[in-house]
Amino acid sequence: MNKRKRAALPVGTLLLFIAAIALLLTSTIGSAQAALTYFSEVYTTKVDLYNIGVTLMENGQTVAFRDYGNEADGNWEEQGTVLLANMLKEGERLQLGRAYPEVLAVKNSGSIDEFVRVNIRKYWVTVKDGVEQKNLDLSPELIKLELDNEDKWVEDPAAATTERMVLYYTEALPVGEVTVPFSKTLTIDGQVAKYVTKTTVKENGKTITRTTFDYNGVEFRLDVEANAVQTHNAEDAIISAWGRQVDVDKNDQRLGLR
Amino acid sequence: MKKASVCAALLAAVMAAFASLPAAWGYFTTYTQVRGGLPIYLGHETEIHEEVSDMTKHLTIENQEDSSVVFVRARGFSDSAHPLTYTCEVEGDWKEGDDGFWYYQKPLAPGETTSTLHVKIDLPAGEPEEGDNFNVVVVYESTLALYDAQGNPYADWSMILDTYEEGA
Repeated sequence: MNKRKRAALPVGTLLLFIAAIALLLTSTIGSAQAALTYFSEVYTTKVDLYNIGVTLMENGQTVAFRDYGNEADGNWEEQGTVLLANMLKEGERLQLGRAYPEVLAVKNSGSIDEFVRVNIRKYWVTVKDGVEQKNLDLSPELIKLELDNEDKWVEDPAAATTERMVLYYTEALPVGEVTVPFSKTLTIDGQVAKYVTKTTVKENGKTITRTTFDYNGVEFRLDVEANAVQTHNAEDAIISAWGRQVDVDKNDQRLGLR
Repeated sequence: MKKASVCAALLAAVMAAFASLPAAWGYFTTYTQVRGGLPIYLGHETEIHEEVSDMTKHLTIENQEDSSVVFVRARGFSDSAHPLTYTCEVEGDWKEGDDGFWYYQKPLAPGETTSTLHVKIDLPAGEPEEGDNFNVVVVYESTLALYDAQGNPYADWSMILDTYEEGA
């Protein structure tokens, strides 16, 4: 009769496993230990911080920005206001068909070069008791944002819908620089006055037919989101951050949609 | 050292190396978002005022305070025996169109009233006799003012709001 004998775990293997576990545990706390040793009253050290930041400009004014804080403590400096706040004068009503200046551009407010893109959404809402409800029956195409510098801002056709457009700036944006504008004017098409609904009611033996505007009292919305990503390893960074495959020329850093 | 030990050591080394990689795989990114919008007012309400004297109707049209800017037009209807003659209180304010309507040339802001359009009822030769019966109806319409890209107003008379009644 054969007796099977289980081989004992060699001491060397056991030691290696213990060493591996120790390595794994200590690998995550190494940076914390390093930080502790930096603090000294005798020695000083200089660390260059690389901060990314992006600012959206409307008619030459800053309307929103989000910059990584100079303290590099994980906090962001950010501020957002409202688009179109100065489109009309006090008490003035929107004129259908009129092209209002809406010059939008992006500024690099960080400390590293970056690639930028903008997500633009247009839609209608009904506001009742202070609560907004998106109105999908009304056409976003009647909110017309006239684009500008379309040789430098390329629209992504794969992301385009009647409500949304995504524009990619084809050049790397250096620190402190502002892109050329991607829009010129905003117009609410006069066609909104052609959409009417007829209702017929009977009152006091009479049949009364009334025609009302579908767009009367609704509000339009324009959303703009500016995105920025580092230029280093840009193709990988962009697919990772934005989910879009692009080609970046290694010589002139021109970006093209794949 | 046995083969199993070597493999275990390599595995441990690879795991230790990869444990610190996720931070290196992160990219510098940021975003900022802003939005805005405005309400659309399309409603408008106008009212016609008529005074009659000396066989003439004196018409003005008033745009209500809370209304939008509009353009207005008016015309009279009568039988063939009583033709109508139009004159303006202010020269050039009203102009006759090809369709028989008289068009007020300026956009009418909320609360504004047009200058007067006089509609004279011409009688057949001689003074009206007792029992003469005729009817003159004035129709007026308004349309929302539209604008070109530069903000110059114009009227599109294919867009008229209807409210009408049928029955007793």
